[in-house]
Amino acid sequence: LTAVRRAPAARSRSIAAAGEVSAAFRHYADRGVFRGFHAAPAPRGRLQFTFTWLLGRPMTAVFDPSSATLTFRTLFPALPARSPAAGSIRDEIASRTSRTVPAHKRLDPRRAELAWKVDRSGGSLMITVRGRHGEYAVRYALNLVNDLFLVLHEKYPDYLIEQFGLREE
Amino acid sequence: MKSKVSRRAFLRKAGAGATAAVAAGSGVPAPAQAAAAQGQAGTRASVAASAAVAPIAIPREFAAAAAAAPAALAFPMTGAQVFARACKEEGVAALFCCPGNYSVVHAIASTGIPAYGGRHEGSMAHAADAFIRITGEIAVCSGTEGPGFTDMICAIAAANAARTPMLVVASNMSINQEDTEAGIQLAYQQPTTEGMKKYGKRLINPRRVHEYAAYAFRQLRSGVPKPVHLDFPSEVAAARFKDAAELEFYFDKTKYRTEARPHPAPKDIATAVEMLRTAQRPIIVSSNGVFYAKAWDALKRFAEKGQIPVVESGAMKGQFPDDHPLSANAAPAALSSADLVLLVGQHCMPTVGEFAFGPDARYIRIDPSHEDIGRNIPIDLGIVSCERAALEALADAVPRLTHDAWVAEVAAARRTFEAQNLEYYKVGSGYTDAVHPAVIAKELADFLYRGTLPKEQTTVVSGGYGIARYVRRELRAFRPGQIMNGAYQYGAIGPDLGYAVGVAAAVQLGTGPQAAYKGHPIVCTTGDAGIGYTIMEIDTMAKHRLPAVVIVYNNNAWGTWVQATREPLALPIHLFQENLRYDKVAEGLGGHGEYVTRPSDFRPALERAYQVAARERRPALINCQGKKEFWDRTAFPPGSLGKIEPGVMSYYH
Repeated sequence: LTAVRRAPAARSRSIAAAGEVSAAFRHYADRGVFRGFHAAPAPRGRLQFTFTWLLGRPMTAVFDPSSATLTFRTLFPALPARSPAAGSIRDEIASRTSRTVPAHKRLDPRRAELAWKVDRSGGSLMITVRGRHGEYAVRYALNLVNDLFLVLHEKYPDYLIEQFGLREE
Repeated sequence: MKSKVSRRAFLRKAGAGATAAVAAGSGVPAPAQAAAAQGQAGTRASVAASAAVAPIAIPREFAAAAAAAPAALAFPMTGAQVFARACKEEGVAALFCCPGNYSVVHAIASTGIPAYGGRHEGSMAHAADAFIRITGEIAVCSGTEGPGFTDMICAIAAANAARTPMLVVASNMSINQEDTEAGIQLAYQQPTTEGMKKYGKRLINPRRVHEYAAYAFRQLRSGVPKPVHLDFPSEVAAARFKDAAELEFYFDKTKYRTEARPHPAPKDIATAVEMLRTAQRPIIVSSNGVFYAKAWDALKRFAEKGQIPVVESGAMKGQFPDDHPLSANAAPAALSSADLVLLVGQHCMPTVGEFAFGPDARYIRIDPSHEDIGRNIPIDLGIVSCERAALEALADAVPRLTHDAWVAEVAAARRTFEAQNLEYYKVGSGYTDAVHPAVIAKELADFLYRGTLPKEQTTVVSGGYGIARYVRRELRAFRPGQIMNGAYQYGAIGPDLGYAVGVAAAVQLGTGPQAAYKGHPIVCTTGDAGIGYTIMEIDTMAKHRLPAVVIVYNNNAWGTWVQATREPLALPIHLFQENLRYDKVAEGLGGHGEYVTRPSDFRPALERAYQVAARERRPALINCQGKKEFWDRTAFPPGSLGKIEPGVMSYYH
């Protein structure tokens, strides 16, 4: 009975979160940060956002309302798990809960949670929305993605040349 | 009877005498002459003695030219002289060329506009570009007919990408023989520079030669600059005019252009101030337009009043001093925190993502070109204005704001960056069998900014490819025009010694912001790939007595070799012979050479080279022997580095 009573509320929360996440992505498209923005339903009730942003390459993010998780799947393709670049990315993400980073860059754990996974296809970034903070999570994730690319630009340009077609010069 | 004077001593004495004779007419101060005589005698006579040939010597005609009075051009004049007179009236600061387009370049040189002749028209056009980039004054480059003109194409394209107001002139056969392929060297010039210029014209009416000079200078001195290209058929250059009445147009510059500049709309300034009031982490990007508008004082006043950090981009650096507490030039980790970005005079715009700013940053763009605002990066506010007028208006209108936490974040990012550089230096110093680029970068910066030289003294050509990834991190600018950003946007690898000619000439003449540093040696950093294109300009610098310290990072390869490591058949494309002696080439061209193979030897070689350049007023080349494997991160960390833009590392935009 408890489960039945909770279901509508949970569904309502997930629908609200999906709406917030969609609106947040749309906001960046409307501001011209993204080009070619497209939002579409994906299997199992998920939402898929595709857009062109950094390095002029298509980027995909999928929001799963059931887990309230936004995933940038294979954000960094073919990234070896034990590579220095993967280590630098992992360190950058881990630092976001540290007091050593400026307050405005610090992750608010009451509003979202970060995860990072590297498998054979590459590195993926996940952010889970807590409560009604879909807009915060999207904004946080996109700013973090920008910073992760900067780490690669500064120290690992060869990876960006190989995987993202960054100009060699 | 055997002479009491040995052959060696005789040659040494003869060489010293010849050198002293050249120095005597060179306009160089007496102590420098003495030192030059001593130094040149030492080096050149020993060459003569060992090879029993005459020493390298600067022809006496150079001293004679330095002492000659300029011609006051008055009617009757040729078309070339009418044009040259317009150049003089417009304040053209220098001419860079090779022989060719004779009547025009001779007329320009005769007016007293300093004229530099080099080994390749392309190098000389690069020299003109560089001269302009660090003085803000107009310079001319010239080539002859088809080949001399097409030799300049890379430089024209580079100047166009850098938004340089460079005047390109070239002779171009005759109108009468148009389309015939009569004789040699015919080329259609104007279609060739399509897309590389702001304005161009083949002059076909001799009586309008002054009018087209006016067209050229109106374009060069207004709005967002770019090269202007005029080609001169013989009928125009050789035309003879008894008086002004024979020209259709002959007016003073006050009649054909204005010094007026567009000013910002008051409501736009009010909107900008309101955006600044609400921003927590605003930042100013100062670029080319701030330099050309000489807006550095207004920039400083605005930044300090609003407590707004400043980061630089563009074809030259130094509009905002790097040692200012508000400088974010060496604070790349802070850039993505900015929530409001003011792009000032960013004439060559990046696209979204090319600058480090995050997706939440809002943008104000200040630019004199209405039609460019909103291109590439969407704006939240566009201000059409001369950069100086806008910065002065903002400095007047903005209240005193405080962004202490933001400034502290910038300072922390700066410390992190400097610590990272130091770490690279420590690692690089550990490789003792060759010179690592991190060693060159750090020790060059120590020498320029933390030694006995005033830190704002030395103007630097920041060139090269792989070496630049390290050196840029350490180079700093403390006054306008201190760094010429070599590879900027067009990304040509080879122009560096051409650039060095232009920068050294600007400092030799003390033009524009270089006035306070007149005569001091400059520094040029480059790689072994780059120097292959322009090393002959060592001769140009030597004969014009341009003191430059050229640092060559020699890793036996193009910086691109890493991309071919898995392609054995392609790899040789990227490689040179190993251990090439560019220092010997420099010596053979009248420069001083140093060859450095160990990190501990670099600083002493740098000090010697600088002393030779300062004392003897000639170029010195330090050939730093590295190895290509230093770009391999696994074998030799930190390997090849990347960059973040804008700031000290930036060169794309």
